[in-house]
Amino acid sequence: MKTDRSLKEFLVEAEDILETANQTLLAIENGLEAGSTDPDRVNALFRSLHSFKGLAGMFGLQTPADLAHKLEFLLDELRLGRVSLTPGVLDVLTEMLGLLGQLVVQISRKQQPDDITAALERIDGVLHAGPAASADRSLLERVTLDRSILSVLTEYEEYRLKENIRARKNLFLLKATFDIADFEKGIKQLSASLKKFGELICTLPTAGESVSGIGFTMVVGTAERQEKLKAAIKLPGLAIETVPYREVPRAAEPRSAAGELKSASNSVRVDIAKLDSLMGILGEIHISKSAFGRIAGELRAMQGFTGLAVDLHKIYRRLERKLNELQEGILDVRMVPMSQIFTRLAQAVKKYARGAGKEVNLLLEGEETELDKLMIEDLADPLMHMIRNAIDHGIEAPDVRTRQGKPERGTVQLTAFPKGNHVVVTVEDDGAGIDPRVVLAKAVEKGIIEAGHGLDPLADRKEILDLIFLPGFTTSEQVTEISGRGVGMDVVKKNVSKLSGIIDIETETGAGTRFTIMLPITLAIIKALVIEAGGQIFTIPLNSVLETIRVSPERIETVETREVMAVRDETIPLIRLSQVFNLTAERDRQWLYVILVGLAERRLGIVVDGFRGQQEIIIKPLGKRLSNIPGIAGATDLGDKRMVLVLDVESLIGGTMKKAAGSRQ
Amino acid sequence: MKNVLIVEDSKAIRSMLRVALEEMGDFFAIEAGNGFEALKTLPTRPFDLIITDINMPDINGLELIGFVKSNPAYRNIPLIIVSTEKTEEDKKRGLALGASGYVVKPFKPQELLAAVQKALEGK
Repeated sequence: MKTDRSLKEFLVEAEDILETANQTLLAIENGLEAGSTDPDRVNALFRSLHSFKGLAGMFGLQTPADLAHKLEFLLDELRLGRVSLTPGVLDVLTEMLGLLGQLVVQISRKQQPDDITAALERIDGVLHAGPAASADRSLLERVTLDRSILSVLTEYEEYRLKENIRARKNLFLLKATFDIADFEKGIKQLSASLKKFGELICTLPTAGESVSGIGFTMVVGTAERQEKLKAAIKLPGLAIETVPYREVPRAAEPRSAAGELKSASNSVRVDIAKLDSLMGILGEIHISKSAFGRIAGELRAMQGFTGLAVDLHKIYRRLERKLNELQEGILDVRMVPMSQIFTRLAQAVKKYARGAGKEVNLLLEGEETELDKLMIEDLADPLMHMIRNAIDHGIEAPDVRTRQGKPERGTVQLTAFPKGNHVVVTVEDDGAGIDPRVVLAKAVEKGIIEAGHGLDPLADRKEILDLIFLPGFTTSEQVTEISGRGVGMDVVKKNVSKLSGIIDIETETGAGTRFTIMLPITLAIIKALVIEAGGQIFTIPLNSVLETIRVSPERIETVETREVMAVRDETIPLIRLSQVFNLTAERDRQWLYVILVGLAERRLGIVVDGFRGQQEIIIKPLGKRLSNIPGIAGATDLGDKRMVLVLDVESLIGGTMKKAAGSRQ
Repeated sequence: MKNVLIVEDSKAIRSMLRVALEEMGDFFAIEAGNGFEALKTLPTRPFDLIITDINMPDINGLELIGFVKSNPAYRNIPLIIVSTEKTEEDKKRGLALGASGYVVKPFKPQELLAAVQKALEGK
């Protein structure tokens, strides 16, 4: 396809871009060593990678385009202040630019390009995106800038403007006019001299007074005063105006005489990063509190419930109560209504439906339901994907629907409602439903299960439908060039799990499908059960625990080599943590404890040796190397300076489900 | 013959656009490698269409669109944005400023032609 000539065009330009990128990176490195970061350079590097990606994409060179895409993403986060520029990030950038260069060389030699999976992961490793430092637009309201200027700013320029406002830099509006024939030299000189004073945020061309003239309006942020600028820049006809800051109304102004002038709303905007940091501090206090409680307990054990031990105990209780109130208060501030993403999703539905040639109504319910701001953001992608699936694979074409006696327009319903400490979100369509027979056939075809699986489409319906959540199942989703992402339900499930959520599916052939996601309302701090098994301490998030049962060993039965236990009318499969993690087996005891955990309709009993009580924990991720161990969600500090593992209920249940399916063969 | 101004900082993509347009229809395309060049080129002939990238040094695509749309001499020239998914937000801003359509890199010649036709008809 690619002729040598056009490939040569690619190579020439790609090498050019990479050379510039390497020089820019070097300048950034030198700057960082000297203790300063020039946002302009980071933006220039972003632009290089952006151009490289576009170029490689247009030439159909997937591997370098993918790598550049990832790097561009990292640089976008960097320039928008969501990831900070550290020596570690610089190392990754240097290495990756080297790799891109290598890929270009390989293409020029018509060799197979290197595998970049490890490289992509390495970039992911430094991509701990936080919330944008200046996400809120209210910063812009602090200054008086003309709408005609604000409306032409790119996202990046707007961010830089906000950063300058945040730092309360002096902002100046400069207007200059040049002759159209040779404006370039003049404007470049002006830009260069302005950059010596501060940051040139944007340069907007404007129509000149005569046809042969062209004007430019520039916004500059600087620590210098106007006089100094005026004295330093001599350009005939140059006008320098100060962009005034608006006085921020004082919040605690006691009832003024002019009551009507008071702002109607008493709310303040808070950057979620600030709340996160408060929550972090609170988490640390919780840990200290736990240590405090332990000491109080030990003292009580030593000298009985008298004197100091009683005092300490009382103070501990009061501290605990007040801390809980404080925590609830902070959590409450983090909560935002689901309408924040519902609106975005509604727009996407319109777009996809049009693209797919289908007629779809979107019904929204429970938009006022509140969820942690950060979780809402992470929920948008999985929901978007499920909605796309519903439109692509669920809702039938209008003529098919009419023939089946259904209304011509399909319906996708998005519902959210609170349920205790959880929020339930459902995505429901009135389309064709999912046929377990089709799922089964496809799973066999994809090699997810073997041909002699012995599963029955009717009797094992639930188990079969769960197969769609396994990696490798999704095929029909094309990776589109436009959106760049094509993911399967396994990714949706993974994303939901990351939010400590669970997902479940109900479907009826011909009538439709409903996905139900259940999420804790926040991830900031969770309550956990501290347990002991195989000589180790573990914690298990309390929100997935249904009940705990003390049993004598005789109640545990074995069915087809698997341990089960009858709980009321149900037979519950059991696992022993000592077996899952290869620990010393539980000693023979008079009593064992079973923790009954549940996901949707699935139940699992986890056999443990004992309980150590409940505690507030903050789950910390394990390092990259350990992050994919099934059954482990992370680690936590219990306040006695020991790290213990937090169990991942979702994958423990998933694990036994797979074993159960396997044992039927 | 329609005059088209292509503003794009990648030389290879620029010439790809030009070749695609000239092969597909009765277009005469003039290339500009950046916003400044575009500003200089605009008065040189009556353009029927402008195709512009967004991410460019000095003057970016949005600023160019803002200029074109606020200038009585050029206001009626339809504009098409060449964007990538990374500049999604900026694409939206461009459309809000009055651009007629967009193509997303990497695009196929048919997609480009469709956007061009739509933009010219909407004029």
